[in-house]
Amino acid sequence: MKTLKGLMLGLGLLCMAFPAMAVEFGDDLFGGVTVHGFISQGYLKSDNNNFFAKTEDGSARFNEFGVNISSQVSDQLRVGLQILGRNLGEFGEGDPEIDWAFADYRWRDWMGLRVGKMKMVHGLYNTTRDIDMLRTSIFLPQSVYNEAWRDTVSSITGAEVYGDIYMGNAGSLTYQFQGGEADFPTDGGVVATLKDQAKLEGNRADPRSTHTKHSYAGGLVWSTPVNGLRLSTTGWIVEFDTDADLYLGGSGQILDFRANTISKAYTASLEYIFGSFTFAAEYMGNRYEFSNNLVNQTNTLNTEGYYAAMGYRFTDWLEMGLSYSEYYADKDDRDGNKNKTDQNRIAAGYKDHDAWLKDLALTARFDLTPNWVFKLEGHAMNGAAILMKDINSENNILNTSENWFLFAAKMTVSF
Amino acid sequence: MMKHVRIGALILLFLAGFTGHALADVLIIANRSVPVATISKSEVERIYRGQMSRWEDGSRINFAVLRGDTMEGFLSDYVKMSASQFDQHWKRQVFTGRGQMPPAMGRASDMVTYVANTQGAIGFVPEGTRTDEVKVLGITP
Repeated sequence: MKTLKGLMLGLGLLCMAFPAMAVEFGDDLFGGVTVHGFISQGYLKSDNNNFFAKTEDGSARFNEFGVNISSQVSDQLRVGLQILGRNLGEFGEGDPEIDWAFADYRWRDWMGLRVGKMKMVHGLYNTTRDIDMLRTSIFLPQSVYNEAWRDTVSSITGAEVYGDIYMGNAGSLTYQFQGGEADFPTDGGVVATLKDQAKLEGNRADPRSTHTKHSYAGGLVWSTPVNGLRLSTTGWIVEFDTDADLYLGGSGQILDFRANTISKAYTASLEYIFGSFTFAAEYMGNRYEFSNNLVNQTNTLNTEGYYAAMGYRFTDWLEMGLSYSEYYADKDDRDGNKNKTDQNRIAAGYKDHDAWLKDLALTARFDLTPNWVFKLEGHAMNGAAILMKDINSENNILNTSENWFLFAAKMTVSF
Repeated sequence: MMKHVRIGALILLFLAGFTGHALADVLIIANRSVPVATISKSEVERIYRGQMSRWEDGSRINFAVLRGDTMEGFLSDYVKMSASQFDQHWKRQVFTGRGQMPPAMGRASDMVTYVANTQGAIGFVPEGTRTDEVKVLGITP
């Protein structure tokens, strides 16, 4: 807690020291090159269950920082790069890495080409998921923006075709199609989840590397003739391999293990901005196919998630948000019956409530200055799907609570 | 008599439903190089949302904002956003690499000077501002 107070104080002093550095209109610097950035520090505390970090004890391992530079090189060409460091408990160590870096050639309004590393299109908010000050809530609804699988959809290195098509009285259509490869860091959520699975089967996996075979994503956003109403659909197909040393429990045997994962997902989204209100609702379905080099078998899993959220801005400095989200780890077993009947799962400690996560969240956002945001958020949770198994186990036996509460606080400074 | 009054009141209410509030008292101004004399409200909206970046002759559109009460009224009437929503929209472009904040002016005279000196520029000023150096665009529905 002392650490948190220190960080908050430090961020506050930073804000006061640079009041003129807010992201503002008319920020052209250094002859056409603009520089922006942000620093976020959060704190998490839960009464039961560890939410990605050891939150039962309280955790300040929840931060991001980013710096970007960009320039409009010519009428049609734009280049930019953003460095991002992030840490959420078990995921990431805050090491700086390239978040996006691309050249953008906008040939016409209805067609442009981006080449490099780009944020991946998924739902309404994936491209800005790591940037706290761009939304009301601290956490995006986990039913659609699962932090454990963030690496799957964070970015694509390759090419993107995009454009805005004006359709007169029918509104306008924005499209994006991306193809290339995705990054799966070995300290990220996806690899941590795969290690978790091995552990619960009594084995230990030490991932050596990951390799994407391909990543494709696409999205359509229809800005309807109804003022403020946007409808969107997105989809992705990602396939990757994880190479690991697999230590078979008890036998001392080490095997060369290669796991292959294919993820195919789609979302349907609605956003309606009416005066000071913002309403959003999204649905996501995801089909996973898992196989490996040791067993000649492919396992499939269909997950499902949806949420509804609303925000209301009372004043320049106060905004409130409310959301309700539901996620099911297995669409065909929403009640978690397999966890109560499958002997392997029973032995591993699974309970029926590990099959879902229902989350009612309330947020208060305070814009203390244009470049200094502070948020408080409470989550009343039911279920324990998506949680990391390792930090919610005792003696390798999963041990989660069905009903729990998560408190989050976060402060962000941007310039 | 009362019946006529009631009918008259109903007609007035009916008409009121189809009458939008008056546009903010702003002038849409453009650099003399801009190849149009009029502009539609939807074009202004798409320009300020970043969806329209070229004039009809292919030249680049450079748009700017004027801070203060004029901006709030202009955004509400033409862009269908509040100032904070507009600000968030452009921050999203900045932090995903898809755009940069538009230039902002503090005074109407600065806006006129910027538009007059910038190829392909468009901006807005309060009615009554001296606009000798720029074009004032007509607004079509």
